[in-house]
Amino acid sequence: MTGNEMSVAVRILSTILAVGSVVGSLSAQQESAREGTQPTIDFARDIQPIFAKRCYKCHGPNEAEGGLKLDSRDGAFGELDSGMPAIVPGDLTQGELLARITGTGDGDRMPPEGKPLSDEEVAAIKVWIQQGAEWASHWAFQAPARPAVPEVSSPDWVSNPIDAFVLHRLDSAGLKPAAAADRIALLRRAHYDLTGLPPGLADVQKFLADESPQAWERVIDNLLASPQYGEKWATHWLDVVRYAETNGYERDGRKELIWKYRDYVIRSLNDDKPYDQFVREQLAGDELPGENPDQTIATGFYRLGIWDDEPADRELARYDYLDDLVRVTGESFLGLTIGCARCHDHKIDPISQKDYYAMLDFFSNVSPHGSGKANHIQVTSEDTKAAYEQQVQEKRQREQKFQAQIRQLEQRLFAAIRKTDPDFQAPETGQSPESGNVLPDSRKTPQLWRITERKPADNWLDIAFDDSKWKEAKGGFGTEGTPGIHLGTRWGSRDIWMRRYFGLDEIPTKVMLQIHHDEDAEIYINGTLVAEFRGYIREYTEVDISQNAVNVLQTGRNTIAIHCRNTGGGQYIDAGLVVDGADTVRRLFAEQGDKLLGENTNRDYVELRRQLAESQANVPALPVEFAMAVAERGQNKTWILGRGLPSMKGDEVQAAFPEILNPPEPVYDEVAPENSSGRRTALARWITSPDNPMTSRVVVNRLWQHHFGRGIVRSSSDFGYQGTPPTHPQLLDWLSAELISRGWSLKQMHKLIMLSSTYQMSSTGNQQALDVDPNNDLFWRFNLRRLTAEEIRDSVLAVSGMLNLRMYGPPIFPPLSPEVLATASRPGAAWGQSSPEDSARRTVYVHVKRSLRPPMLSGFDAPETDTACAVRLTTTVPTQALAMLNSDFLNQQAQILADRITAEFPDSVEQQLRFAVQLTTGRSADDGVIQEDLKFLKQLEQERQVTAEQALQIFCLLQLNTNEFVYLD
Amino acid sequence: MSDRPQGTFCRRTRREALWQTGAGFGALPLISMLSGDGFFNGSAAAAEEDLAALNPLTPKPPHFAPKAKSVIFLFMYGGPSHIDTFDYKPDMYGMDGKTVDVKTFGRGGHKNNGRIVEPKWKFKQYGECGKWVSDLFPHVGSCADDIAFLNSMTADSPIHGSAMLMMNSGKVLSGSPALGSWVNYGLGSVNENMPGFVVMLDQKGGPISGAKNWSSGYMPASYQGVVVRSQGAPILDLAPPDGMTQETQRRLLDRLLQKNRRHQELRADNSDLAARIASYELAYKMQQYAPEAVDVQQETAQTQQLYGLDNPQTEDFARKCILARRLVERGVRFIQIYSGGAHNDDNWDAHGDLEKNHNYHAGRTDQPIAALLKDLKERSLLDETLVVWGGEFGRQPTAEYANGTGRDHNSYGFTMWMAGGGIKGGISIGSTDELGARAVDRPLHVRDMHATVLHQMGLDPNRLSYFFGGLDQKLVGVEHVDPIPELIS
Repeated sequence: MTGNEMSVAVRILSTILAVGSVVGSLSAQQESAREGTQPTIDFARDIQPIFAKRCYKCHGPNEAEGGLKLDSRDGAFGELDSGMPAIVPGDLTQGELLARITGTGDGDRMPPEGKPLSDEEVAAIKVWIQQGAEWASHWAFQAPARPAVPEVSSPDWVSNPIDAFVLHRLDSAGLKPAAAADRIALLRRAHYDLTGLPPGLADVQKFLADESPQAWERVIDNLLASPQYGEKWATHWLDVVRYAETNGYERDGRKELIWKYRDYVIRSLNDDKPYDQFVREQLAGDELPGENPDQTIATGFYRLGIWDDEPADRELARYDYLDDLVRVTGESFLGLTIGCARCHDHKIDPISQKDYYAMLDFFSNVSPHGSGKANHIQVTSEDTKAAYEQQVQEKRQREQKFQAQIRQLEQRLFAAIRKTDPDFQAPETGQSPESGNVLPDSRKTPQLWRITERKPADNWLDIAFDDSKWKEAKGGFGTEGTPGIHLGTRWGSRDIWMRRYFGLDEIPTKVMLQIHHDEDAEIYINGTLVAEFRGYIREYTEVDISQNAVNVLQTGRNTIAIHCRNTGGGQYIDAGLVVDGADTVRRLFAEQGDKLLGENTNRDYVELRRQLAESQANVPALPVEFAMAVAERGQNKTWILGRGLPSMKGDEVQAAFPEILNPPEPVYDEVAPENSSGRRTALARWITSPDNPMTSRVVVNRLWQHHFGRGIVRSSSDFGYQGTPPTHPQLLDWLSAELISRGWSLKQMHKLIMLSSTYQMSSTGNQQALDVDPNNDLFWRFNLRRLTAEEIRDSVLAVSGMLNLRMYGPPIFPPLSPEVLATASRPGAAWGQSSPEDSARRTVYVHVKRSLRPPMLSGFDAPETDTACAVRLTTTVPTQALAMLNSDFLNQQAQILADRITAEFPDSVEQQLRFAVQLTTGRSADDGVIQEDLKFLKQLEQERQVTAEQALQIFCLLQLNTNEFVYLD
Repeated sequence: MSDRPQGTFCRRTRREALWQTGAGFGALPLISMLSGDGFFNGSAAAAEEDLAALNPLTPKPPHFAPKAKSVIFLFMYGGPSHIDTFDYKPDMYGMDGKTVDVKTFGRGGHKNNGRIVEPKWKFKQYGECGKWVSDLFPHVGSCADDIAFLNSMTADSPIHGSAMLMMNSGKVLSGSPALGSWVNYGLGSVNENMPGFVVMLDQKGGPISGAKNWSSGYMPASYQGVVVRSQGAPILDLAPPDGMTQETQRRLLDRLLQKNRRHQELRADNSDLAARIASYELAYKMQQYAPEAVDVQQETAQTQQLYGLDNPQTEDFARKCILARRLVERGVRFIQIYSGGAHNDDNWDAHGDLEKNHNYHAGRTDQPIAALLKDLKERSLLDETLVVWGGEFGRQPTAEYANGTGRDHNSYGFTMWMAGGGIKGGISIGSTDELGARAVDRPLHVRDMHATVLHQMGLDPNRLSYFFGGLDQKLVGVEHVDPIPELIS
């Protein structure tokens, strides 16, 4: 390359920069300017993206036309089919590649489709070849190593290593970091970034007054400790996992209880749960040891997506569901768009179809979605269970004591009777189950039932129903391996219906149901529902059903009919009935007790019986709580599907990780978890391994993104070839190493980032830096940003004083206008109704209904939730202005704000205005501005015939519409 | 737009990203996105260039010279029966009640035979082309020479929810942008005072899945359809609250402008702030402009009568059709009108009494639809306005239940039609079997229809793409799809 060509290359590279392409070119250009040498080309940053975008389709991971594969060093530098080399490092005169892309060779110009490579791209490739064609594999697929902290020009500016990395690049570009932001800007920034809410006036005053060097750190600590932190950062996470509370499609059915997942995220963030644990719980909480309810709730992760309850093609729909899981797992945790390889090998990223289906195999046993309460799994906490166990224990001991005393009295009575009647036969006493066991369960001897697994006619539960066509089978019914069972016949499907007859000679006083059941068991006797159970249990239990059952029993033939349902885990159902017959002993006491034992003793007996009965009737209840969560069912195989079609099954694959990441084999626990394959644990183990090149980088990048307005990698869920390269790769790796060494603590990372001088810079521009780096790729200043949809709504409520900070629980339904409701197919049933207090809670609690998003949120770029959203766009359109000016919500809140400022300063309009300005901007208003505002009010009143009260409301509305309120420096 | 751009954010060029945000609702001159990202800025010169490209009066260039400038999609939600409307099956008369072997798939599942319900209306020939049209649509029949009938349409799903998504977004899976979003993404909008993608709903309510049917999916929200009401304030929050006069609001906006300008002084390099300032002025203009745009009272009595605005039966759909024409005149790119809303017989979903259902819905729409075609033609607008008529699927030849005339859904074969916008009139393409159960000759898929719409608008359906989730997504899917060549005049 001649000197002239080189200067062209430099100029062209700067053009690349100007159109915002190769981010790193800036450094190349600047380094060249500084050192007076050639610009340095970074292969991963500058060259590989060109190859990936323009060449891989035919010369990439999956194709090697003409013998050229540009995705590996060997493939690029080897001999072509023609015998020629494609690239000769350091030599621009040889090599087929340059000739083809410039169209100067004999062969066809490359690429054959679309525009030729641009001059800039060709120039970059030339410089790269001339400099020796250094080859490095894709940055993101190499495990990060902790880089050395660079030396910088102004060590004073460096508060922590973050600043050194940032300043190092600024030094190279000859730029200086912006001055520190003023304290109010900084405080607003911190409050919004960590809590999504504006600072209160007291917060501002306190921070302004605190001159100690620790003032800033204290602010950060307090905000990180505030419960609103979890609410704010949950929103970021919920975007990434496409959280919604309905299924989409025709009925857009509610995902009942899925809000517990949202609460789990908030709680986990507030608890600073280590990120690796956070990931493990969501992917495989159900497989983890222990029975912490949060672990189960976390797996609601699997139930967040869209689901068509009435698909045209059920098998395809099943794969659509699994595909959604592969995609969201790949993008959210790994920053990989694996989903693209469903139908064929990824054209650009090195993800093969085999990789895709091997990933899918981790999820292949995930039970299908379902409507209503399907996928509801019991999440009763350990504490609750322990308390229950203790109550059961106490009850047992209490009753044993009563029974011993009763038995003693009974023996005395029998002995007394025998004195006069030697032939006396003592009746059965106590609670001997065998005596009244009219319908044994299958524990001792398998019992015969009539069963069916296909939905029978509606009258199946009636006495007269003809069940002769049903299969006769021995109980109990279920699948091998389900705990605590006595298996007679296999039942492995979702539902079972079973019937049996039993005879009775007399109507008993007490009926005990002995049962071991799966979820949703319904018990009918003679056509009447006598008991109903939600949630499965792990052992036989005895339930007193006397109250319901006694009235429906008849002498002679009786029918018991049971419907049981299982949606996940092993199946099991068995039941039996024990009845208490006529109480002959009590009759004996009544007739002879006084006479033979004395009145007091007889009274004691009656009292003991009463106490025993009372204790028996008072059955401690285990509070049953449910969550929508994951379960596995069956042992499904996975095949590579041609064109993604279930009808085109190819090779079978086993669960494995994408090959490009040089992963280990999945590591499974030696003992598989109960009711599960353990595959998801193996997946979570690899994802959260410190050796995984993606996980820690992806999450620190997300943290950076939401502090600085963009990630170090801008495409924060795509770290593959098609993603944007990191602007500060070393900083990213350093942060990633730091996260792991700090035990995956996100809060520590927030603090580290916010204590940096980089975070504390002003957003003010300067012309020199704007000319060199208009995109702020180098972080020479802080990025100004608009509030998010949630922040706008929450801030309006905070400023008006109406914001209700109550946390957690079922979703809320702030009012929607009739026009908005009219867009639903069932306008009346489209939305719920919350109290005014609940409607004023934070936006993170607003019901997320896929087919009906509140315009106040979607209008300000809250994303659609059908697919994951890693980066929200910020649009500015006139409908936003209409909503801010004319909507009921804004006008009502403006009125409330007006009332608030009037109540605070009833005597001074000026004070009212000052207060409103402070509330909306955090700042004290200039005198000049306040005078103008007063004039504005006066004009409204005089010229527009507006009352003083109305004028104040209009002023408050205006204040809520200002850019200063809606934008953060 | 399809060539892989070299300067990209998530594979979108900066300008595309700008277009993406701006186009849906008037290409704002000062639109900005990814604020705080530093994404917009570019050099001052580049920024100016971007702004010039975003001039609201300069629509985005199409891929090639378009035939149509606007689309009006008359969506017969619920699925009108093709063999009772535009797909004449003379041999079926007299077969009523006969059981035949025929494979069907609807909400009632797969069936191998059924009881024939013969077509319940008589058919007549219309126009020079001699198209057979049933007595449900005599007015539309009189326009047959301007219409191209697609008698062999097929779709992937016979279930409302997914079928609606397919007809509107090309996918049975939720989450992709609607056809109207694609058109606006591709072309921008020439009227900054009205949305570029307008949806008008039936009085009974929205269709199943509601806003999903006009969602912009993974594209920015500014491409989503905006629901415009034919009575009252046409756009949500367009009317100032009670007690706020236009003059008072102007005062408010003037003071707001002062405050925002002062705030901007120290942040002069940030175009987001300027964009937001401009958006308030545009909103103010919209408030003046939009009510006039939808004011059908400005039409002559003759025009009102032509559409049937004077008849209670047709009044509602007539109003929407007039409004559609007025919006076309004002440069709105894509207008979708729903006939039918909510559930069951509130739309074309005739599971029970076919005659009652279709008499009702056709009776409300036939005259207004024909009037729209005639009116557009008279004003020389039909050539540049593509009118599409159809539901998400058709209906089966056999009865759904043991008794009655109700028909279940049928996505194996049904009829749609197109008119205007460079479409050849007086032709019919493809056919179904003798029962209308299934397309047999020249089967057409929804994506063929979508490709044709894009093509007539000057967009190459195989080039118009949007990078999302690691792929260049297209309305018509991964594989190459041609517009229907027979249709193009």
